[in-house]
Amino acid sequence: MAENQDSDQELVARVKQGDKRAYDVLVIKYQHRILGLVGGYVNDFQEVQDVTQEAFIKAYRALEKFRGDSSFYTWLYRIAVNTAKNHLVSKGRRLPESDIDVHDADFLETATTLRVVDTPERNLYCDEIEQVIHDVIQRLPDELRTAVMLREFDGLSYEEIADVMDCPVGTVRSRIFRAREAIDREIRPLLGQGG
Amino acid sequence: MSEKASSEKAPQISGRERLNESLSVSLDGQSNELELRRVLDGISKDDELRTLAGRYQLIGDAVRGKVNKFANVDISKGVMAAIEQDEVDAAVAKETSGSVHSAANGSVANSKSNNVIEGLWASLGKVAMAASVAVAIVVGVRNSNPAPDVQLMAVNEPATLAQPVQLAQSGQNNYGVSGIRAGYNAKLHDSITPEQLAYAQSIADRATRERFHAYALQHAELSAMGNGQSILSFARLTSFDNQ
Repeated sequence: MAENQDSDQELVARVKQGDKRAYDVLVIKYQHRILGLVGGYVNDFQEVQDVTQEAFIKAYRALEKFRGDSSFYTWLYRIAVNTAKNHLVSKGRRLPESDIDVHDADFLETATTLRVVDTPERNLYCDEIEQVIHDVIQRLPDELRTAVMLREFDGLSYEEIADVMDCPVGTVRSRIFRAREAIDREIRPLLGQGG
Repeated sequence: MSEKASSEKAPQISGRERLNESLSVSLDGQSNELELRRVLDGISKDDELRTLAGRYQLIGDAVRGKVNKFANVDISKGVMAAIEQDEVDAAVAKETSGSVHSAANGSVANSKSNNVIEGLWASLGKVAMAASVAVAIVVGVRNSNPAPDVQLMAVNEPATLAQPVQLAQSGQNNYGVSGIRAGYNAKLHDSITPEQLAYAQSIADRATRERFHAYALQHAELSAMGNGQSILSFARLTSFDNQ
C-alpha cells in the first residue's frame, strides 16, 4: 500500500524532527498488528503487551537509523520479532523453529500457538466486531460503501478513487469519512467506548 | 492534492466533525500540513480523538479481515508515557554525570589550589628563615661598625707565636665574628631594604673568606717552622695575600 507508506514516511520525518506526536499516530496505526505478531511468539497476554511496548520503544530510539529503504512497518516488524525472540531467550524458553514472515504476520491469529491469549471469549469478541463492521458496510449507501472498500480493501489513493468513481477528491474524502462514522456508531458500544 | 469541484452538497458540519474528518484523512495519508498538525495536536490532548483513531484503524483491519485478539487493547498511551519517562531519565542522567564531572574537576582544582597554598607556605617559610638570618647578619654588621677596636680572638690568642699572623685590615676581619656574635645579641630592625640585605651578605662572605685565609696562613706558618721544605708554601701564601 504505497499510500500508507507515504503517510508513514511523512510521520517518520516529523518524528525525526522532534515531533513525538507523530510517533503516537504510528503506534495507534500498527499496535494491533504488532500485538498479533508478538502473540505468535509469546503466550501470555500481559507479556505480549509488554514485549510489544518494548518493541515500539526500541523502534523509537532507533528511528534515526531508519533510512526508509523498506516500509516503516517492515522495519518495525523486524524489531518486534527480535524483541520477542530476546524475550523468550531471557525467560529461558524455546525459540520457534521458523520465523513468522512479514507477509503472514497479519494473519497470525488463525495459525498461531497462542494459548492464553486465544480464549473462546476473545475469539467470539473478535468475530462479533468483524461481523458487525461487515454488516454495517453492507447497509451503507452504494457511494459510501464503494469509497470505503476501495480505500480499505484495495488500498487506492483518494485520487485513484476519485477517478474510479468519477467524482471530486473532496467528495471521496467526505464519503470515506461518513462511511467510517456510520460504522463507528455501531462498533463503539461493542468496544465499551460509549457513544 | 488536486481538488475537483464538489458535486455533492457540503453538509453543515461542526468543528468536532471537521476534526474527525481531518483524522480520517490523516490516517489515510491524504491530509495537508495544516490538517495533520491539527490532528497531531488533537490526538496528544484529546482522548476521544485518540480512541476514535484506534476505531478507524480497527475498521480498516476488519475490512481486510485482520482483526486479531488484541482489537480492544490500546498500548499507545503506555508507549508514549514510557518514551517520555525514558527521555526524562536520560536528561537527568546527563545532568547528573555533568555535575559529577564538574565536581571531579572542582576537587582536582581544590587539590591543585591546596598544593599551591602548601607550596606558598613552604616558600614563605624558606623566605622567613632566610630573612631572619639576613636580619641577624645586618644587625651584626651595624653593631660591629661603631666598634673597630674589637679584636679577632684568633689574632689575640696565639701569643706564643714568634711571628703572629697579621691580618690585612682589622676592620674587615672583625665582621665575621661580630656577625656571629650579632646572631645572639641581635636587635630586630623593622625595615631592611634589599640593598642592605645584599650588602650584609657580601660582607659576611668576605669575612668568611678572610677568616679561612688567616687559618690557612697560620697553618702554613706553623708548618714552615717545623719543616724547612714547607717554607715555599708559606712564601706562596704570603705573596698571594699581599696581592
